[in-house]
Amino acid sequence: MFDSAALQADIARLALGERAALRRVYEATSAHLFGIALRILNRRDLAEDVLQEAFVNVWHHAGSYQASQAQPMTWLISIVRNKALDHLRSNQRHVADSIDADEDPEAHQIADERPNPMQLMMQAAETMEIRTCMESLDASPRQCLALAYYHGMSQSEIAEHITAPIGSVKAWVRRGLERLKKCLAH
Amino acid sequence: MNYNHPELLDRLAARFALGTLGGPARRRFVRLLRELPAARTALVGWEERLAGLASSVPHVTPPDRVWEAIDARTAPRAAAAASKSGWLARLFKPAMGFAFGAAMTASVVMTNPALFVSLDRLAQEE
Repeated sequence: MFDSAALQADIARLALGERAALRRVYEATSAHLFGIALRILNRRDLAEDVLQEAFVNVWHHAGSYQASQAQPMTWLISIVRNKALDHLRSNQRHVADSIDADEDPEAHQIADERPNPMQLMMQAAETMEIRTCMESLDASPRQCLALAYYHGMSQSEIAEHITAPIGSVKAWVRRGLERLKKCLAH
Repeated sequence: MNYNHPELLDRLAARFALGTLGGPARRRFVRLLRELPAARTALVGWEERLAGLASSVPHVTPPDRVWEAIDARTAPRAAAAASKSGWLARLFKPAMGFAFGAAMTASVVMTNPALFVSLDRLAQEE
């Protein structure tokens, strides 16, 4: 686990331009953040770019962290996820090419190595002590939530992936989110 | 759309945080975040809820080149340059820079007096 208070203090220091604090934040969080980016982007080179962009961003905008009122790790995860999602959405039409291209022979291997998102979600639910609450939800909404969160899939991509109508996927995503909120409120 | 509706705002924030709010709706919500504190509050709430889901994602140590690139891009450029040159060079640098610039300008004007005239004319013709 991360030392949230230490992380918070370091973000405050790097906002004042202390470079050693940036290094400490990187050392404490980069493996977790890289893992998250890698799940979403499914390519090491892109995940490296996103991680780099995220930390350069953190360095320049650490001052805005205080105002966000989020936990330090939540703030960092959000920056990385948003950058990864932006990357994914803006390069959507190139994805099919890159998977087939000779230049990236590893793409498929990484895809196969990615853990099952449903397992990841239930494992996280266990840690968050909401496993039973989440398990009382049908499998489809849980699967939609997991595919969107861990693989960064859009609703239409989920619909294609699980061969379900887009309307159902939208409703399931909504139910998944509502349930998560409810489970965490208890 | 009425964004003052707290439930609607909460649903939009949830979908934005999850990443399923796409296209124009996503852009509209980004704008809303700048204008409406309630939108930011709703978003942080959802980011906190969803961040818990990240706890199970296996950690992967990034290669050293990622930090090296970050380090290079966040280094204060002036300080890095100054530390490389000695105090004497630093003392004379501005003077030498000025002298070099003046010499270059003089030589360009002397060898190409027509250059400036033609640029003037070009500007008038625009």
